[in-house]
Amino acid sequence: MLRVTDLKAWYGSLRALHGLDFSLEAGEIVTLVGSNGAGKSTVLKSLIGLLRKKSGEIRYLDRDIGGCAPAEVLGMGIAMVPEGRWIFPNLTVGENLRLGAYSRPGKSIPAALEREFARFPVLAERRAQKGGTLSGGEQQMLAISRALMSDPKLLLLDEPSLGLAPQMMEKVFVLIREIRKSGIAVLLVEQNSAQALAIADRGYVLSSGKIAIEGEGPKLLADTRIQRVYLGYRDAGSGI
Amino acid sequence: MLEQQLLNGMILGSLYALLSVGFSLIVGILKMITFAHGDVFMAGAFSGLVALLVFPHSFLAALAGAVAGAAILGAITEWAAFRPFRSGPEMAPALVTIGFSIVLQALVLLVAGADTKPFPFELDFGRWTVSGITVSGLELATIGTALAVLAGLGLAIAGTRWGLALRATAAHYQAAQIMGINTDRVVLAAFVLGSGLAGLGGLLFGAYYGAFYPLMGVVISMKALAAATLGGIGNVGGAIIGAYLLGIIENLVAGYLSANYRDVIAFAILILVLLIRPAGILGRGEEEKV
Ligand SMILES: Nc1ncnc2c1ncn2[C@@H]1O[C@H](COP(=O)(O)OP(=O)(O)O)[C@@H](O)[C@H]1O
Ligand SMILES: [Mg+2]
Repeated sequence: MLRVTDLKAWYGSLRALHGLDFSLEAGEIVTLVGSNGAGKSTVLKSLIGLLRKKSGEIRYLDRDIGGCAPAEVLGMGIAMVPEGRWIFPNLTVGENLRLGAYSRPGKSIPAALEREFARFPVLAERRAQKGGTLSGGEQQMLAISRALMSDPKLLLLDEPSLGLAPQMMEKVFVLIREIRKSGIAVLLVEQNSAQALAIADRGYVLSSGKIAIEGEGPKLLADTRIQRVYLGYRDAGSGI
Repeated sequence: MLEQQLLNGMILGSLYALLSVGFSLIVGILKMITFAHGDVFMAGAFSGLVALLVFPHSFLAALAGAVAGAAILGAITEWAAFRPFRSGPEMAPALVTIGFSIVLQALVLLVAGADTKPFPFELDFGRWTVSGITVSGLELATIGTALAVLAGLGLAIAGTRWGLALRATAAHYQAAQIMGINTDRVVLAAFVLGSGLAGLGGLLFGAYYGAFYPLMGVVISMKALAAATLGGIGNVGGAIIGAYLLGIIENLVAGYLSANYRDVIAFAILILVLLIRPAGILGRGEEEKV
């Protein structure tokens, strides 16, 4: 479904990605893990088209989308939940959700809204409230729900568990599995690598803008050497 | 007396509002300022006069010409001053707009001359006296046109898909992009709209005061920027409220305190308001939730 070959990306003259290869098949959860600054967010920004200064090939459903703007990428069925959520704080929850469906104006927004309100009853309750008034966990739900409004085939999630309380974090990982079950492929970026690798089919460990290791999620999780070297665990297996 | 000052305040406020809304739209979205807005107002007004060469004696043609001319100049401003520097240095666009402002003034000076020109024909839309105050048709038309256009803009921003895209782009530029909004197009629309309104204001200003001249946009655009700041920069409703407040305060000061010090006192009041509410009347401080 998605095949990335030799992806390089730059911020100005600074190169953040040094030639990445990875892939994702329909229906998979694939995770990119790695320590802070490894380049995980940069990969997602390159895929969605926010970052234009890049080289290599991004092949999605047999098209090279490397040169596409976000609007075009969205139109082809990729949606992103960015790190930090990027909720529109002064717009209502309902307006935030409507914006999620901006890229598919022809289709029925009410039906998608109904589906999302069923998935997240708390958002239905707060639909007239400003996005900025929600708690951190609710904002994360809103960000994910907003991305799902576009009916994506592939969902890019950037650190969805960041800054959440443990139960909320648990909820997010359950949710990710449900999203996959509904037929949406997920590319999950996490610093919380233990949880991410546990639910992923396959994982890639990113280090300094390169793929260091790849493999099946649970196998990577079990490899204590990887954990110590790339994921910064002092006490392998206990999580961060 | 009071009623007359309020009426004058509404007229001046209408002219300020047509300019301040453009400032608010542009600053609201790009968080950058244009220094060419007053000259777009001026050049728009002159485009209205040019339209009269083609359609003599049509006030509507003059209005349309002013709006169209200014809108095109707004698009050029965006294109030349802002688009090339989207992710670059924040001061670059401001500098380019200063250059653009000088060029516009020089061009109009060259083509039309430095002398003050009246509106080419008499605009007699009637005149009424109601309980002591006299109001002309042109005054009513100025206030009415401004209010109608601004109300339309407000409704479009609050209630349309385009307005939602505009608000989203102003709130978070990159987030708007990953919603699939073509933010470049939103920015262009903001410039075209804001400038079109400025052109409308320019023509109404020239017609009302009977004065078209190359520097006619300089002082009023500074005041409109102040009005937008007073209302809460980036907030279109705030820009409109700020504009009418400034217009009315100025006229009250002129009528009751001192005509010579109207600007000084009006600006003192403005600074006082900003000291109490730094983000402006409708503005809100930056807040972010974790
Ligand atoms: N906007 C930016 N400008 C310049 N450098 C950046 C920017 N964003 C990220 N970087 C740099 O790119 C590298 C990768 O960052 P990022 O993709 O955010 O890492 P991660 O998401 O894995 O924490 C880091 O060295 C970071 O400092
Ligand atoms: Mg990151």
